[in-house]
Amino acid sequence: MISDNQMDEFFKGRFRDYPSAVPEDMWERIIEKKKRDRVFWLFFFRLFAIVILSLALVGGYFIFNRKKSVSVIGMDSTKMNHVPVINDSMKARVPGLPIRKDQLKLSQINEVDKKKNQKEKPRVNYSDKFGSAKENTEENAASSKVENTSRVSSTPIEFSATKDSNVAKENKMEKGKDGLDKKAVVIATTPIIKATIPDSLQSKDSKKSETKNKSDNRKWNLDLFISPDYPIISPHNDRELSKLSYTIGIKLNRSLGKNFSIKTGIQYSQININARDSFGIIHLMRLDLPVLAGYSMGNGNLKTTINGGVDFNLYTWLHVTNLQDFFKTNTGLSLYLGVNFEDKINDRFSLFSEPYYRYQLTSMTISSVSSMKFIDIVGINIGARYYFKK
Amino acid sequence: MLNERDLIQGCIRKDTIAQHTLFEKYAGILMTICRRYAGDQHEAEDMLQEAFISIFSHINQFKFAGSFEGWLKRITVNAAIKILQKRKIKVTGITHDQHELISPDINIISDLNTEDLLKLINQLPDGYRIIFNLYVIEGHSHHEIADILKIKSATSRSQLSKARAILKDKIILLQKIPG
Repeated sequence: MISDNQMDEFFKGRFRDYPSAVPEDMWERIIEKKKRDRVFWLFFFRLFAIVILSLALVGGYFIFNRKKSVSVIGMDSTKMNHVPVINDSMKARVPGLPIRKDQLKLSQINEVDKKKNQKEKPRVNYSDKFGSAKENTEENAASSKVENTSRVSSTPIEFSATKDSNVAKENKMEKGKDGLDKKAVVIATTPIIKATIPDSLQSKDSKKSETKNKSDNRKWNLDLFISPDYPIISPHNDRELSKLSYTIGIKLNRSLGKNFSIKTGIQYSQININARDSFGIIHLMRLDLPVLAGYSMGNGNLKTTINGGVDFNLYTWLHVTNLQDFFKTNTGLSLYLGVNFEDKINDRFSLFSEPYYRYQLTSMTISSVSSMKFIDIVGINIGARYYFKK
Repeated sequence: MLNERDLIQGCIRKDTIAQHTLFEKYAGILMTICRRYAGDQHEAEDMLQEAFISIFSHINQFKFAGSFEGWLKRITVNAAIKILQKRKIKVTGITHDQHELISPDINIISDLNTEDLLKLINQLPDGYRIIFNLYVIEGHSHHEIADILKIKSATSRSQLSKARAILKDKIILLQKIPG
């Protein structure tokens, strides 16, 4: 009879170093599986990068829109040039509209208007100073700012300031039965002229906007930038760890119309990798020539530009000499996608930041090396832009 | 011919020739391990494939201390268990009919070749088979098996006992069948 221990030893001894037949195609299946796994990781990292860029784009869009829309009391900014906006103080002058007890009587308002006019003659003179108020009205109707309009329309005094202007004459103002001066209604429906706003009252934003328009008209500009980078090594393996890397560069931009631009320049990158158990920290240096096209959005202080294109590698080298036979000296092409957020400082300078993803199209290792290596880069360019004279 | 250290370093550099040499050298032995754990040949091949993928991606973690073959076998056993666990095998709750407490003669067992023994092991239910392999062939303790399979030590003991009993039954059955 056999004991448990004897049986265990018997089984153990029989299976020690006993080889079984392996299917002939097993090696091919393993290679195929490795490739599939690599594709999965590449897909995962690239999907992640696209999601980050999309979020940056959407975030930029919302930030831009928030700056653009100015809240105006009693005004609908989308219809400001077409629909009359009557606030409570105007309602007092409009026939047929109920007058609240707490509102001033019209005669009292007119009295206040007259006194104010005498005190604020400079305002009345603006119409004269700039010639026909009507002309100004027509010229500026389309471009009148929401902010300016709101300031005037919410101040009844200013309507009286145009009492003798051509606008009033042209609109054949009549007095109503209740003594209400209908010009108030007429003027309220007329787009408010920009000229009635003194320079001192114009906001910093509008001045900045003019500055921005000036620099928009400039066709050439130069970018200087630096970027903290993070290399994404594929195929992914635990032996090589990505370390913080960087890129510095210079780009020359040429505007093509209002929205489009092209840019090129030169950039130097240092990619740092910790090759554990072998070479320690590897510094892979590369010089690239970017050729990009951009599409810009926004006309406020913040401009968003989507840049895409190709980085041509000019030269790649390593500080570790015995790895020179591993990486190519020219690593070929990378695809570039970035979203640039630009903030104006003055008509010549602006600051920008640009999160980007650089996707390595071609293998960076030489053909005699069995494993292909691709190093993509995620980074954020931070820099300054200089606009040249026209 | 590459020595073992060169072979390992070649695999760390992801040199395909070194990887293929390593595969050629150890695939047969590792295939036997997979066959012991798998329910069928197809599953054993899947296990071997996963084992080599895992070996090539983790070979940089081998510190040249101890037997390399032993390290390869451990990786293979882990890959096999991982695949079985994906199938959500039940180690507990498997019951077996009361068996006779008769042990076969040692001479009868000696007559069985390794392929026969593999067939006998393959006929065991999944849970019994894994515990039998881990305890008897790999030499793990019940406590270690309990940690690996997330079961109680007592469960491991009882399953091993049942596995042995089934194997003895089957060997006696073979003895009774002529030829």
